Amino acid sequence: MFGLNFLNPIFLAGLAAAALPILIHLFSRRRAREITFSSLEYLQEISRRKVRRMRLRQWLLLALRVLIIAFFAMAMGRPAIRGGAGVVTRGSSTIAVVLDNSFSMGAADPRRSGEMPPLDNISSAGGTVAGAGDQDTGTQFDESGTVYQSAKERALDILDLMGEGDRGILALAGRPVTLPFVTPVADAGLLRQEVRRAPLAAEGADLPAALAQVLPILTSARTMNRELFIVSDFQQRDLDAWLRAGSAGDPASAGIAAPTGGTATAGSAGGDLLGGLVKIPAGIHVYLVPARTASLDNASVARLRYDAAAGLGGRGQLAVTVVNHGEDPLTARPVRVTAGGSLGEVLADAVLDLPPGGRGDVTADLSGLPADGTLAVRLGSDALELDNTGYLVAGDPGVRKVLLVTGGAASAMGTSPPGGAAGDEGRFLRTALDPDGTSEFFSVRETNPDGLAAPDGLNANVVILSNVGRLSVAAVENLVAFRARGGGILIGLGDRVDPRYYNTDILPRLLPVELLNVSQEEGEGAFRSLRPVVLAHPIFSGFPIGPGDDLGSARFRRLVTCRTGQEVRVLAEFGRANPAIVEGDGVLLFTSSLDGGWNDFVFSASYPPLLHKLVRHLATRGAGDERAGLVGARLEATLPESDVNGVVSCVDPSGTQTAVEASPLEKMVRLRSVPAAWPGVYRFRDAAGRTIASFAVNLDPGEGDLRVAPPELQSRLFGRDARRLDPEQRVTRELLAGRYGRELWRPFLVMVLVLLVVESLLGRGRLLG
Amino acid sequence: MSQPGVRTLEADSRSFLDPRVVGKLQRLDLVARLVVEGLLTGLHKSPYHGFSVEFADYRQYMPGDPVRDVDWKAFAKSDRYYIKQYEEETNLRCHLLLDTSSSMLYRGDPAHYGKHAHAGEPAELTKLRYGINLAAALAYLMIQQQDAVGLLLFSDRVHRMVPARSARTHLRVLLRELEVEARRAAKRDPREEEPRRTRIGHCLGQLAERIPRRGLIILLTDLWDPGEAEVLGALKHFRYRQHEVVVFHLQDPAEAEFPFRDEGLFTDLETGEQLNIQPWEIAREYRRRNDERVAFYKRGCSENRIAYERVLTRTPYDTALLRYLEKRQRLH
Repeated sequence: MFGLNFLNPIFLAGLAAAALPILIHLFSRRRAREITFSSLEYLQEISRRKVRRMRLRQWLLLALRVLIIAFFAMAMGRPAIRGGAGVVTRGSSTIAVVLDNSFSMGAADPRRSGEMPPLDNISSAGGTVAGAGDQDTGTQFDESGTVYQSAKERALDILDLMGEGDRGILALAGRPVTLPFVTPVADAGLLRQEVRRAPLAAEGADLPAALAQVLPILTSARTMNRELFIVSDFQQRDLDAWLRAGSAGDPASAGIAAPTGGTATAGSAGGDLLGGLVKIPAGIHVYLVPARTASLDNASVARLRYDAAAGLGGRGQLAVTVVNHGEDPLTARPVRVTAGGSLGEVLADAVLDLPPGGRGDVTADLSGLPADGTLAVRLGSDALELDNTGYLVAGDPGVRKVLLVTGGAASAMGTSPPGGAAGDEGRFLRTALDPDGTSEFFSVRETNPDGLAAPDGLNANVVILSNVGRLSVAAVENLVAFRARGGGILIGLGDRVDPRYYNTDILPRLLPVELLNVSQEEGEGAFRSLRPVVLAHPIFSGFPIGPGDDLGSARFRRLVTCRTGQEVRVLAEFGRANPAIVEGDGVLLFTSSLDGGWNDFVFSASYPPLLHKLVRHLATRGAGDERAGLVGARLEATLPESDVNGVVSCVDPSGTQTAVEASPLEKMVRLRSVPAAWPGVYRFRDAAGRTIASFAVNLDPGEGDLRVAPPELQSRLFGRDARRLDPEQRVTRELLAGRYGRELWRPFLVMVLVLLVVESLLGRGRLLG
Repeated sequence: MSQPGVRTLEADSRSFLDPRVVGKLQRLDLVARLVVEGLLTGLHKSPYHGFSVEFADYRQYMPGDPVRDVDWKAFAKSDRYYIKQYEEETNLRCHLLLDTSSSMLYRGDPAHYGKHAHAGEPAELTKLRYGINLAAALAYLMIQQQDAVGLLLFSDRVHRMVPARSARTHLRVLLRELEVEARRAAKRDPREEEPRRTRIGHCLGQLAERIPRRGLIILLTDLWDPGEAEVLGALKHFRYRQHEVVVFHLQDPAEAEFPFRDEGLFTDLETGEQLNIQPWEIAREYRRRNDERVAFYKRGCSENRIAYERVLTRTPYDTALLRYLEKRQRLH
């Protein structure tokens, strides 16, 4: 049925003015003065005759004046009805288009296969063809034949719906979310232009963040219709993640709920989107516009690692981990290793076979590294070209100085430390890092907590606190300063650790984590296993991941449960909700012991390599030993002052230079780039043009999972009111015919004019005179 | 050649015909004299001429009779002293009937008309005061021409009745009565005192019986009597009894023009009733109704040979006085 709605309800406050005639009437009644007159004979006689008509006329005049003001106020409030007929104007609309420009949208669109060269040709992927060929020479991406092109066309179709009085909003949902215009735009041409030039992002989609920005704007729009079009490939991986985050009440997503309220219109009752991550106000119609509906097979380069001592003749070997996201096995998929920076020199070729849904390694023996140490690996073509390339900067950053801190006052837990006599507590760590004191990677020096308080500072790259009870205030201050200078801290727990003391005196200064209590696995043979969470993290490079892998073989009997803040990342866990390795700024917390007291980790084969990775990661503060990062991360390096000559800039894969933030530390300089926007090799160059640091930036291999969420899941996430538009269906006005309401301000104004005329005639006595 | 001094004197005298000028005078005898003299100044012929006594018979002179009354012509013919005997000392008996009802206390106040009112010149006097002044002037004029003058003050009943006499000293009696009424009217607050209502028809009916002899009836009233037919009937009764009747319908300009523009709570001076009126709604209707009443009386009086004159209280007195003189002349 018709539902009267006001698009500018603030003007309805003007209805109060409708009381003015009544007030004037009452006011003037009070002020009627007394007039003596010789006789009321005529007046009474006339009044008797005319009073009924006069009163009727006066009441009519009063009602007319009230109505004139009320109708005028309502006309200003832009009344509108849904449906409607007669002499009315078309309802205006605000159209918000959320365009998913995550790099999964760069997949080839099977429906447009004719527009693109064949993909399964390794030579074409090698450099001459758009796509992979362009990636190392720039961040330009040829969209022809891709899902992204189809998505843009659909977005343009939607914007074609904009007519006079309509407004449009555009959001690009790929990380980082961008809105070309922060307010609704009336010029559809501007929006179309922005859509046409919207680049593909090198990261995944952040639809909750995009909606959190768009919905408030859409909610505040004072138009009859407010419509949200989400143009995306609706990856199952993303929807699963949002569903999990929503159901877990993800604190990181708190506050992105759009403001509720606004004027409700019939047809959409509002509710939750994305499993509760986003609250959608009433009156907003949601349309899902899938850019593709079919899942695509795709493989991604997940990880590269270089072992200089392996391979034929110990000349170096590159191990490539590939993930097959598809449901078909990969057979004889070619893998080519080239010099990363130039793309010119082919260093090795290999062939890969992979089962469906699995991951596997392929190794390529190299005859040495390129001069700049950069390597690129390319897979044969598939649906998504972008993730077929991986980059690596291999090189030896030198010996890392490790300060191992053990011992200290016993905590309330009180049991004697394992490993026999005091002074031997660090032997597993020491053995793992530098067994005989001649390691070319690590130089370990051992001390007790008092040694940390020494005023001369900590001469090390990494400090390991292993089962340390208490620290003096000076020691804590030294650690804080050490971390600020670029040093890394690894904290292992144990019997000496009093969680309350750590929560009050140490962790608040170093890591936003709250230790809760010691969790002991009861029963014979009960234990927990370590499970990586962030697979792409450098500390897990080189570890086979999966059932029966090395990392999962260690048995952990005791650990400390903890609660993590938003600024830290859980890299591994002991089962669900029990963080095992937590990463903060320059600090890694291992929630079990590193000295063998609470587990048999020290006897596990994965203990030495993981410890190496942890220490190397900390020593380079996030760059990792292979200096591999993901798109979106800032690139960091801490170098001696003597190595940094003048202003340092960051050169991205396309050759564009951006500023690098330099922070002086003690005799060191900490360099930090802007977030890397595209995969490839980045270089820090000093004023003399000399490369002082190189970084490989890769895509998140998870984004290469091109499975499309089933419609049921989409309905679950976007609500039943969300309408799915078929990819083959053109977005037309007819399709959205139900959306148009009718604005009634013109009839209301006509009514005001008519009432004014009637009032004028009545007031002059032409009517009922 | 003109005589400025005389003209000035004449102009000054005539100015006393203006109610605004006379309204400033308190003494009624002065008012009466000045008004009448102002009137006479403008007349070409004395109105007193021919108004003398009417010869009836001769009688034998008796000692004590005034010597000036001896008819010397008759003495020359018959050598006897004869005294002229007159039919009467005066030839006219006139009664002034003044309406003193509360409605006669009305005087239009321009402050009540409203900002946008288009009113004519307002009256300076109440209808009653105007009527008193006019009655005084008429009485003076009548006494001057040796007519017998009586006075009746009435509203819903007869309040005072002074029989008609022609002696000069009678003028003082009449003026004193009028002055008392004027003083009383000046003190009257129509909203506090018990108001006097108008019952013209009733009072005239009584008076018609009490004034038995043929004479002149001059009625000074605002005619605010809803019984229009009764009033006209009473006037006809006078005519039936061989009286000549002159009706002066006194109206305040505001009553005739109804210039009010602002809404007001109108209060009846006689009944105290109140009525909220939007004058702009009924002004036209009021004026039409008022004109109808005037036309009714004019037509009714004309049909019965009654002189009817509507007099607005800003009208100079000579209009009414001349009307009287005209009537007086017709009687002789």
